[in-house]
Amino acid sequence: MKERTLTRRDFLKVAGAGAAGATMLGAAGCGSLANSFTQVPEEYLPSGGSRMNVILVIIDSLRRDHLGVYGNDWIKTPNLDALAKESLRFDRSHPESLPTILARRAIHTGIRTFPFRDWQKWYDEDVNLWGWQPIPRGQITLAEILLGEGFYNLIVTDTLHQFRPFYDMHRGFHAFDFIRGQERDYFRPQSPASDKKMKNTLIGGPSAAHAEEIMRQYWANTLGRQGEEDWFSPQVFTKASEYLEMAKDSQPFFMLVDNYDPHEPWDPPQKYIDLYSDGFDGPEPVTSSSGPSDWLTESQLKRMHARYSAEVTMADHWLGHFLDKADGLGILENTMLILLSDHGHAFGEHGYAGKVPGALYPELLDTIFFIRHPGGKGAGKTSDYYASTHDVAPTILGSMGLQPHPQMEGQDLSVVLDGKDPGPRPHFTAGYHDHVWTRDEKYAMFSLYNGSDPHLFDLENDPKMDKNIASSNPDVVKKMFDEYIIKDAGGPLPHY
Amino acid sequence: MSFLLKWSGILCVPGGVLWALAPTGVYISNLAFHTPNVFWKMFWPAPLLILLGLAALQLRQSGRSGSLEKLGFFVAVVGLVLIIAADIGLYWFRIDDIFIVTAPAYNAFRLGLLVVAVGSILFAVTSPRDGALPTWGLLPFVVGSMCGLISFSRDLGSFGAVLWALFGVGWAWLGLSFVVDGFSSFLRTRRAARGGVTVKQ
Repeated sequence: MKERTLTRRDFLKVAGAGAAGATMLGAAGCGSLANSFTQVPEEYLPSGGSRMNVILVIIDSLRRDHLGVYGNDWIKTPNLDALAKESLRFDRSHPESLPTILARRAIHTGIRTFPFRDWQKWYDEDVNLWGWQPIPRGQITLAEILLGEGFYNLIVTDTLHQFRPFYDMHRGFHAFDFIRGQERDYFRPQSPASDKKMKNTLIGGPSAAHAEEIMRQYWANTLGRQGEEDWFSPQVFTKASEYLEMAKDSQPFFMLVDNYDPHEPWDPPQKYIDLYSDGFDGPEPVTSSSGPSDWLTESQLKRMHARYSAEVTMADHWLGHFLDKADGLGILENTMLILLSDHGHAFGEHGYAGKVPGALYPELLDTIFFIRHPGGKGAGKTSDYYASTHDVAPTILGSMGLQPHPQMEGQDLSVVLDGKDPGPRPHFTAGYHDHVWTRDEKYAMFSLYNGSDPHLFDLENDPKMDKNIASSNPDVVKKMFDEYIIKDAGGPLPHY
Repeated sequence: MSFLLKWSGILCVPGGVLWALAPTGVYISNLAFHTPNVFWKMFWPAPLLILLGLAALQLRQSGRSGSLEKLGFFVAVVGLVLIIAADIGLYWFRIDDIFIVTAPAYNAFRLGLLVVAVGSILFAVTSPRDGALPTWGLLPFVVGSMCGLISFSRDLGSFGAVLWALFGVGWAWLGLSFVVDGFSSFLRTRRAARGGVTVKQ
């Protein structure tokens, strides 16, 4: 009997048909057939790869000296203090530029905003500060990079300056929630009811008209609030908690929680004010009208400071709720959390209130910076590295073993978690509008962009920067301006 | 020794069965230990048995194999070695920091899966010409290998788990066919020897 054999050609035909069938099964059957396999286990591939989420919390205007963990013995910040104990804490962090939008540009891109070259003011009514503009299109953001790595990106913020569509700060995010109504966010039409509230609001000072404009809008925006959960910090952290619940099924995720309080206006619920002030007669100082503070009485300054401190505690309280939620969901076990502030605020120290470009003292330049690693790396340790806003993006990427984007200028601070040193930074520089600031181990100096009107301070003997020694140390001033500021700026500073 | 080598192809059967049971193993591990890793820690014998069985099959047809078939064999071996090494590295030596995206062991595991599927397909498609392995065993094997390639490419949930299992079944089937074919060939040889007829092999 002749044996029936399969030729190679026959076999390839049959195998090809089988393979095609299997492929079609795979392609077409994913949806419909998957339902019929519900009794079959869903998980079959090995586990591994990156599953570390990232939560980045920005707290606006939070001074370093207003946290218990940084040595303040009267402020109530239990949640921030507890978080600091689980984190690597930087004791000499400063923004590379300020204020709000400039700091966020650096955070989102890892690129320095200073020295504000090619500044383009986007429209006439925008904030008139050098460098205050959207992120340039040519700069890639952290969210966009993480998007490419398969992260699910979310942002919750009440920082109003990001809300205008052309600011596009939410690019690269899958989901965003803008909590409307902070400060002068054009959220609601002004009304007679908001006029009524203006009577109990202290307006005046060097920027009285601007402060009045802000408060008139703010009171309109916040009409009808009832419970504490209607205030801004509570809304931000509550929404962020809701996002957490949803995001736990979309891991890995990157969540940015950008909280505007304790930025002015300082309008917390009364119970927080009572923690820091026994009472006050007269219109409430809810804004500082940035400039010299001599238009304010001592008691007004104290009350203003108390209201600010109250907002710090309120933000801390609701941050605690958010952290509890993350802990309860088990998210903190595989999530790196970075928390930082963008700048501080002055309350009469050195004769200024608010954020004055010509008053670059510790109350404005000293910020907070924590990194909490889920593996406990660096927990409870401190670093005196000059950590800054533009280090955030390289740090997040570096902590996951990803190379920072070539455009990024910041340092990967995650190496500090392993006890290593980032790139050397023997001095640090920052810019704010038409003023520049620099420091090293011994001195801090600030001046106008062209080096004029210098202020120099001996940090070893005068850490609060009370005594200007510039006139007696012109060589130090010149060295710090030429070798630090001009060098870091890559040449003479632009001016506008 | 040569007897052992000759019949080692049977190792594809337990290897394939263990492989096919992986989704169930993951399910039980999750249920009992709240992590799939307990199962994955014990997974490496499956690819090892398949590797040994595949080596025996290749030995069986080594004199007759063509270059494409050899390539398929080597690719499949590389894939299996990657899987074994990655499994041991990932779950026994914990060489991956789970917070690092690069995750070399995990990525080697996933790469190994794809490589072994491609090697299997190539091996299965080119083997019939050699005639050393039964066609009825190779046909389901190539289909199983295709199923594996699909399920290894991306997470397809329950459907992917079925395809994963079919990949294991394909290997088990190949091993079984090898044994059955070898045994029947052995019987034919004995019968022919008794009857004094020469059998074409």
